[in-house]
Amino acid sequence: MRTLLLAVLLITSHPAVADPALAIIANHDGDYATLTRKQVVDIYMGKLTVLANGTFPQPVDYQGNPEIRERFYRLMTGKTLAQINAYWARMSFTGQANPTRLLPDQKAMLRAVGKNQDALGFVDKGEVTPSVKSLMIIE
Amino acid sequence: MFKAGCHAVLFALLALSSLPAQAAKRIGEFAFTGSGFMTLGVGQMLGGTHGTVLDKTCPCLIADYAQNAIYDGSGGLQFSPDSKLGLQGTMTLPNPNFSVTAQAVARGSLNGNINLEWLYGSYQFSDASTIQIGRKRLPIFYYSDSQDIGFALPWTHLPPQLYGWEAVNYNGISLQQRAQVGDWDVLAGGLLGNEHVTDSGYWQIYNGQASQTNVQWKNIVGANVQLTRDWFETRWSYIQSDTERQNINGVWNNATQRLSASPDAFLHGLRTKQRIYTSAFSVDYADWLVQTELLFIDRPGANFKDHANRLGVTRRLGSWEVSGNIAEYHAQAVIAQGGNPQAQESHINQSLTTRYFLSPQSDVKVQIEQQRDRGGVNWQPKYGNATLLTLAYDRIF
Repeated sequence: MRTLLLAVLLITSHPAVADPALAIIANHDGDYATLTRKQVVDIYMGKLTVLANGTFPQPVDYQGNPEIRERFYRLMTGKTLAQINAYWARMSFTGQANPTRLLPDQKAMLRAVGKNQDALGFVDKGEVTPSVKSLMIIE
Repeated sequence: MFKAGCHAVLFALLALSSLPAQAAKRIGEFAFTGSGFMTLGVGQMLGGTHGTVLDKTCPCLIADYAQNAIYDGSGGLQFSPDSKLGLQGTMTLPNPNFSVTAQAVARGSLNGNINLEWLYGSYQFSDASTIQIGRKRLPIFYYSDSQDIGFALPWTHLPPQLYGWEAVNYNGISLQQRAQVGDWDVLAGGLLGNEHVTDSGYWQIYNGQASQTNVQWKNIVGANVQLTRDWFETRWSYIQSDTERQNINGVWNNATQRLSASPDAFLHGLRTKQRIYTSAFSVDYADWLVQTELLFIDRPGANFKDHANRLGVTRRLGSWEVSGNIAEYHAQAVIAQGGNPQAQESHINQSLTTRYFLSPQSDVKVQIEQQRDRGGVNWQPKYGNATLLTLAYDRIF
């Protein structure tokens, strides 16, 4: 009985495994000093296309349904990838917003953001390289 | 009922269900992207008011007025009303701010016939401003633009009390502008255009499947604004037009070399001004989505006005969603114009929908709904009450 109780205590007191942190990245020349988390969400949902400073953000996303994409939208919006796709189906099939540019992996994401002044992207925190600027950490 | 005419749609839907998501190709400086959506729907009438209404064996539930999509009481599983397949292609020109988009939809309710729903050129003259010219959806309601895309909807079909009118598209020009005002995201639009519907499916519901009615909405002018702040969104829309309808009576007119036509008796005079007002409110907070929509249509001089509204609540549970919706339509008699309060259309629909996301691009929904006919004693056609069970598989690709 004691062993069982100990096992239950160990299991219930085990800290939840946190999702790996994500970094929102931009080009070194991008004017995103005042960008907020809410604005990042709005940009990726096609609702915010120009910032008060005149910058036209160019969000970059991943092709298909990789785990990092699912994690990004869950952390930022609390929604599943299916719910995000349902939202984008409404936007993109009806001309309300242009779908974001899609890239195959994090290397391509770092390359694209490093080359484009207005690009915004996201990679695992540990993948950030000097070629881009980390704007905020999402966890 | 398994209409032979919709076999083609069903086979296409099944064949396309395994397609990969989106295709893209570049030829020279022209970029092409292709995508699509499909719904394979099936329904079973469970009960309601039995009888023959016009040429239909009822109980009857009209799933989409605009497309003449009706579940009836003829027995068996019915695949036609909600099944559809849409393909969309977009070509981006060497100037990436200019693109051409076409969207064609084949529907079971139209025996698999393909309609061109969208065909427009789009020029984005800034990242916040877009002008579009061509054929588009009339943005009357919150889900009007996406009414064919089952995966974008929480139901197996839209609440028919609001969605589905004699015209749902237009040919013309529209301007869309995005802005941020304080903490609010603003999407504003305006449009100008015309629409001509021949052999209207909407009026076959009211006048019989053999009837032929041509509809024209001329001088369409509209404006809409959508305001979003965090979890709250509201949308307001106004559209006006000059409406003309003609009933084709099948008698050949030698003088005009056409079938004879007469103005529709429902209209006030040959042409009626129409003003459509809608509003929508949406609260999307945590795992809850609460929405309400309101509609009012005024036709000065006509003997009735249209009112419709709906309230929906959706609870998201991981890959599951449960939605409850209640929608109501009633026509209000204008007694000063000779309207009869006992001869007005009125009905209410209550539905419960469970949705399960099979993948990030597909879902399956089960919906049970009950329609109550509350039309006046002198209202015709009186389709009566109905209880319907529908199952839908939606996919985008």
